[in-house]
Amino acid sequence: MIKKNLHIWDRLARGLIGIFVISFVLFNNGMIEDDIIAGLLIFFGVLNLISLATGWCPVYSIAGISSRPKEK
Amino acid sequence: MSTLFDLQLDRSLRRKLILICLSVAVIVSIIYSVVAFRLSSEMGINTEISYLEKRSLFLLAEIEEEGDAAQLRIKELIRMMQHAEGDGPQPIYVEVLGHHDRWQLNTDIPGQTLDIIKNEIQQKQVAGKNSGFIKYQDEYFLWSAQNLDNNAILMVIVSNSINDSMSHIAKRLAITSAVVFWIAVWLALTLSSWIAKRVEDKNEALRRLASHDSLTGLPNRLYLVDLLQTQQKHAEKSVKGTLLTIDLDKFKEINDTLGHSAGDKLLVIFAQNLAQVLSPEQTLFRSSGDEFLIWAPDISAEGCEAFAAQIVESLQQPICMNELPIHLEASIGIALCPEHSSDIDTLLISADIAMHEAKKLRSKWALFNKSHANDEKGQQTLRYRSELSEALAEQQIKLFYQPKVNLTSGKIVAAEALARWQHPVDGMLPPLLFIPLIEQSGKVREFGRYVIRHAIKQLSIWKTQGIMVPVAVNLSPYNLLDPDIVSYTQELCEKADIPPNMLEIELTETATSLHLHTISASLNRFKEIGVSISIDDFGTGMSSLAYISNLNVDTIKIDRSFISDIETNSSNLSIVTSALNLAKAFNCTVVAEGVENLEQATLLNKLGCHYGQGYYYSAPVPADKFTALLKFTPTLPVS
Repeated sequence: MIKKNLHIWDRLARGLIGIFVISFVLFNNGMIEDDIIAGLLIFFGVLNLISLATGWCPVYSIAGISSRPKEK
Repeated sequence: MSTLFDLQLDRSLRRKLILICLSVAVIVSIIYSVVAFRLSSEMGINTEISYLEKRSLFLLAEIEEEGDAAQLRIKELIRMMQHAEGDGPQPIYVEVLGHHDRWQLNTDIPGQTLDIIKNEIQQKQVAGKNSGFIKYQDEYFLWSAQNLDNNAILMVIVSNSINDSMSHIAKRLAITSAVVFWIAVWLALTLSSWIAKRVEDKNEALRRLASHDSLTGLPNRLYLVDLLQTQQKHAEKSVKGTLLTIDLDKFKEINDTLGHSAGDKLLVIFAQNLAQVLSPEQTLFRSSGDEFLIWAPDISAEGCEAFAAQIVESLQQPICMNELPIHLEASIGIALCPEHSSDIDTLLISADIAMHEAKKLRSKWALFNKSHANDEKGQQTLRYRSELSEALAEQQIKLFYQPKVNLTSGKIVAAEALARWQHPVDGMLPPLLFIPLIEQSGKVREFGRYVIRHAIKQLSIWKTQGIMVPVAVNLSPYNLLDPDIVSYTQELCEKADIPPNMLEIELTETATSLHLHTISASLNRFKEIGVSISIDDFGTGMSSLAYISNLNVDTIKIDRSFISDIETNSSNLSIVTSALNLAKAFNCTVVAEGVENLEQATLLNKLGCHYGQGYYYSAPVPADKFTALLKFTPTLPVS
């Protein structure tokens, strides 16, 4: 079971960044012209969207940190 | 002083870390972009230049071959080259210097610009270059000058493709560096949070290590002191509550019988049982070995004894250990805050004193007696107790020496070392004022070793001065429970090169009757290494005479109370006489304590007591005075 580790603001910010990045890749008007960079951007965008959807960040969980307020 | 609770990570560390990591990220991104841009534009220009060089060499070869028709041929070739570029005709300038002719071709480069460019090319040619680029008015002019036999060619082209590729590189770099920057920032945030968290965890672990007992997991005395100090700092009113010191009775015996691991288990179970009695506001601490503390902020003077009774009640249940039911008994000392004291150290000592009171009275619990503490003596006791550690650390406790004299010859045969506290404020304190405090405060062992150490030191000083006089030290039987005391003494003697038979141990009779079995082992080991044993204050103890033979002592010291009126009190005289007979039977020497005048000395000598000690000969004196005594009057007057 994935344990949520993102604060709601963290989650929203990631969501916005994800949407922005993916739409930039899709509608960049030929600015990128590089499949690797486009792939990288898509990858990060999707990662951010996953964070938005699940409230979980893989790197946070590797580093063992959490921006989520502690439940008491 | 910062308390343990302040040991939390200071918040700015996290912020500082984030800031540092972010600036590193920014710097790395900038360096990356600049270097990448420079590198790729340089590579683009170099490719263009080498392409131009090849073209000019090719044209030069054509000139060689064509001879007179070269001009036409070259012009056509250049036209073809311009068409091949695709992006419309490229401005070009060609200058040919041959042995047949000399001609120029210029398409679309303004004459003025060309002059400036040619001027610069000449300068560079003088510097030994034959190709390169010149940036002039936002345009890149690439040039190549080649020589072959008698022909020379100079080609200058305006490169549009460089500007194009530059903007292309810049665009791509902008996106790449945005991605790099993003990763770097993200990494910086994660890394700084991670480091901060690690530091926080380590701090927490350290804090726990310092403030908790590893066996029971309970907070320790330090934590209590800290807790109360923090509460006092933050509370507007003074902190209220009850402090209880709980000491297990005879825990040492349990430990000795069942072994230390069982003892440890027992302590853990005891702590768990105790914790169950407590309400959530109350806290249990383990202060040392078998001593626990309870801080109960919700209990006041009225309820404290009932609370103590409740704790005692809870201990009634036997604890099963190795299938043996063990009944634990505890003595509880109660001190109230702020009634008894608001100072934590004093409060702890008060509870401790009350606990010892309870132990002494066998009353299970005792409330600290403030009226007793309030008088001058009580205050003094409290103060002295708190100053003991410092006194030992700063060596304020000195050894004074009183001679033991041969009653026949007056010769000083030995010395007894007596402790005096050189108090920085109150001056010299007699042992009566501080020895009981040492016994109460659990410093007996430390103090015993302190005395032995200093006596051996003095022996070694005397040895260097050529004086050889045995020294007797007073030890508590609790010192003999210290398992390493003999080896400690032996080691010190060896280090100072003092034969152990220069050391004598004096035990008070009352004390010796306790733990007879346990201490006789230690005493025998002392005897084995050559230390002699004497019984102090003989005749005042409550024990039977049997132990004299059991303990195998060398000397009996008859208590001063029998000597002080020996000339007039016939019953005391008979006691002394029988003690002398007893000593003879057991082959011990006898020392009479408290000899105060010549009559006593003469009488004792007549009775067959050969050694005496007392004010008649000398009061206990500091080491330097005793040294003088030994040097100048080693034989004291006997008549």
